[in-house]
Amino acid sequence: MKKKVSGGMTMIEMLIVLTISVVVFWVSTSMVTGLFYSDERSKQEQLLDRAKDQLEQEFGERVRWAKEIEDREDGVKLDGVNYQLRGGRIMKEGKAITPDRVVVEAFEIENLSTDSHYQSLEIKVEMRDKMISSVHDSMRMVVSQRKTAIGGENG
Amino acid sequence: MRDKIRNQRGYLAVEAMMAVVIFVVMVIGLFSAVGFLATRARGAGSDTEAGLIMQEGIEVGYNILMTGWMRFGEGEYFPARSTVERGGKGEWVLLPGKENGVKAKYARWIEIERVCRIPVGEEQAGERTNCLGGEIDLNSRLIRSVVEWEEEGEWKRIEEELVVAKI
Repeated sequence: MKKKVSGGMTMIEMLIVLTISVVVFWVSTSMVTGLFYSDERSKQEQLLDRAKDQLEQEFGERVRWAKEIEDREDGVKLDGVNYQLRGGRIMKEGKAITPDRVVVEAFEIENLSTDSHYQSLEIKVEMRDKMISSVHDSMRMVVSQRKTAIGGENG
Repeated sequence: MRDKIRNQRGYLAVEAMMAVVIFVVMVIGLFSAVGFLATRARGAGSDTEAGLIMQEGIEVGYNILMTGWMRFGEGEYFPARSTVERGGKGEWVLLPGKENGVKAKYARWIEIERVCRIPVGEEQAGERTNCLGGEIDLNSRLIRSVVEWEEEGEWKRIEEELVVAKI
């Protein structure tokens, strides 16, 4: 009689331990998978951040010191260099300046200056990751054309 | 013998439970560390965002001065877009005061000040000085762009100055 009760208790204990182990391993696997996915997502967010930094640097310097700025329907022309949105990428004279993995959904430029000699551009870019569409970001920057004069006899 | 066997079976369950508890504690500790690092990363993102807002203030202030030198006097303003005077096309204007709630958390404003310089004939003539002892330079004005925000109970502030010359 006692032997049977002891055998039943051993199996129940084992079942409990197995059940708890399965639950713990399932939860930890879900967490690790989530970590891996968020790591991958984090990498793509970093890629978008780098693309934004590159665009801010490119347009910041180009617009600030441009002698000639022309509004274009699909972009802008800075000192004869065309910037356009083509096939989800921003092109500079036909060469892409955004990564292949980044899809640019919108590229808008608006001049908010009252004087054509001192243009002030608001540049907006909406972008997303090509593979993980939920990873998206936007850039908005304002940059004003500078005028400089060198001092001296001829200044 | 039976007692010995019974005690050994009960001990196996206890060992397994302890292993599970230790494992869970380790996992919680690991995820707490990850959460701490994520919080630090978010703080760095706020600084970058504030920097962009501050830079926008400088850019708008510069354009406003260059397109209308005395259009705005000394004081505190914030940049805004107006479509009143250009038939629906936007243009920059400065509105008096400070703007709160920029991107839900930042306050920003632009300060426009006069620039004073050490008078000609004195040592370091032409250098900027306070306006009590210096001469007002009518061809220069100072733009100061300021951004403030609260983060984790602490107030942060960044500012940048630009002296603009009328040319």
